[in-house]
Amino acid sequence: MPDLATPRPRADRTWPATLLIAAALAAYIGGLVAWDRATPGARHLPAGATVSVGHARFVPAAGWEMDVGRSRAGQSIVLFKEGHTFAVKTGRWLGDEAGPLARQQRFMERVERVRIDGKVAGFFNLWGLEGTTFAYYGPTTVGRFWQIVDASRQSVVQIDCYGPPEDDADALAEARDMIDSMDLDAPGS
Amino acid sequence: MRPAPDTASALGVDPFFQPRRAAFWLLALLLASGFVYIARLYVLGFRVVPVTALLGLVVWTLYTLAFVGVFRFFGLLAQQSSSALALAFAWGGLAAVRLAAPANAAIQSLTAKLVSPEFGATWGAALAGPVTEEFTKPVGVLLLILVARTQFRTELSVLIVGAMVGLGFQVVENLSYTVRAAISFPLENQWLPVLLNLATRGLLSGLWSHAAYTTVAAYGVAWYLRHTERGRAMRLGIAALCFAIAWAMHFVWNSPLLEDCFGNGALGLSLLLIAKGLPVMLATVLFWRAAMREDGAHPQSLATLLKRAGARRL
Repeated sequence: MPDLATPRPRADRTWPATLLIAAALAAYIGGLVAWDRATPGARHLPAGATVSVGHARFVPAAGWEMDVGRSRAGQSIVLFKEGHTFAVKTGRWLGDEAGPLARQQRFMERVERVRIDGKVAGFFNLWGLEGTTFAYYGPTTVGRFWQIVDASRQSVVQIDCYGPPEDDADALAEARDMIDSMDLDAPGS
Repeated sequence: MRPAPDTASALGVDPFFQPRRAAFWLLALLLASGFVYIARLYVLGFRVVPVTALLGLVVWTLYTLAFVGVFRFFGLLAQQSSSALALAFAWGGLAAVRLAAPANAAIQSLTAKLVSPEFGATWGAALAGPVTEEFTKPVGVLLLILVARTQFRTELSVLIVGAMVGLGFQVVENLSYTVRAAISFPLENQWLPVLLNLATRGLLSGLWSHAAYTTVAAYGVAWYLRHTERGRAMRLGIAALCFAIAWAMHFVWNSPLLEDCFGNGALGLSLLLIAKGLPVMLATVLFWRAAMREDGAHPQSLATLLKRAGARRL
């Protein structure tokens, strides 16, 4: 039978194994995070080509690249350009039109700690999609949020464009162009 | 010369408060870090979906108590002190989750970057989950053994600690998923996500989830510790085999395998979860049974040791 006892002086000497465990954890987690940061995640998008996320599709403006690491196929896509981010998220929605917007504002104000600037306004894009939008700002970020709820398709599309205050007008104008090009007829959705 | 056996150690009287042991401080540091991380996450969720966060906490606490009740029914809690069980649960729910989060995110991001976003969305969880979590959870078992080696007198005493680590991980992960699901839930209702997650993650997946995987991995650790009459290579081989089985069970569970064999409705999902989970549960039961057989031999060896110690005093 195995020996049941462990002599105490030996039991107190745990630092070699502890050091090994700490080193393994640091190497594993730190190594993975460092590897991910060192791996480029930008994907060039051909000019004029349409990109799809869920049932939404749109034409990216020139110079915007896809952040592959932060996008999730079929659910969300993140584009970026010169410090600005344009994120599109699609999902299922069965409630009223105000529901997801209220939840989003709560998330932004209470978690992301930004302030809503002015009131929520309605908008139409060139394809006739109707939605709501509002602006927001934080200590280092300004942004605008758009939401389209299509009750007949039981779907919601949320678009968030944000970045540093510098060049904000240009980024916002390009974001509006992308939203104007958007429809909800992506194949396979 | 081999040191004389320590009778007090054999009886398992070492407490887990061991400031002279380095392992104690690493355990304490990672538990504290995990607590801060999880508390912060919970508070953020509470600010957005307060009803879900509160109800989720109550429901998953009751779920934990039900699991503990099952362990008690089978007499498994008698294998360990309550401090060992609490520390194991805390490791799984706090430290292991905290350590796994950045590594999981990095693996999922890497699969999307190095292969494709489609591959990342389909296989990312299957790769990240087992690789990271089947590493961070058993680390807690190892640290607890280092802190109070004499508390681990039988294979079952290691297995129940493994199961509690897995249960802690499972419950905190479920609470986190519940809150996250409520934030993007397709209805304004805040209590329905709790019920849906309880049904799918708790009832249909609970028996063959993290508690089962870590039990299997812990069996390897127990075998390594308890079978010192065997060569080190064999003991390491058995430990590695158990780790590989736990890893494979987790991989299959997280993977999209078999998804095409069942429908998309509630019945299809239920059948899929059962088809994937039943083999895991059966395998876990076999490991528990193997450990119970060894447990029967323990009182005899303890009696021998005490007899020897008594003879020396005389």
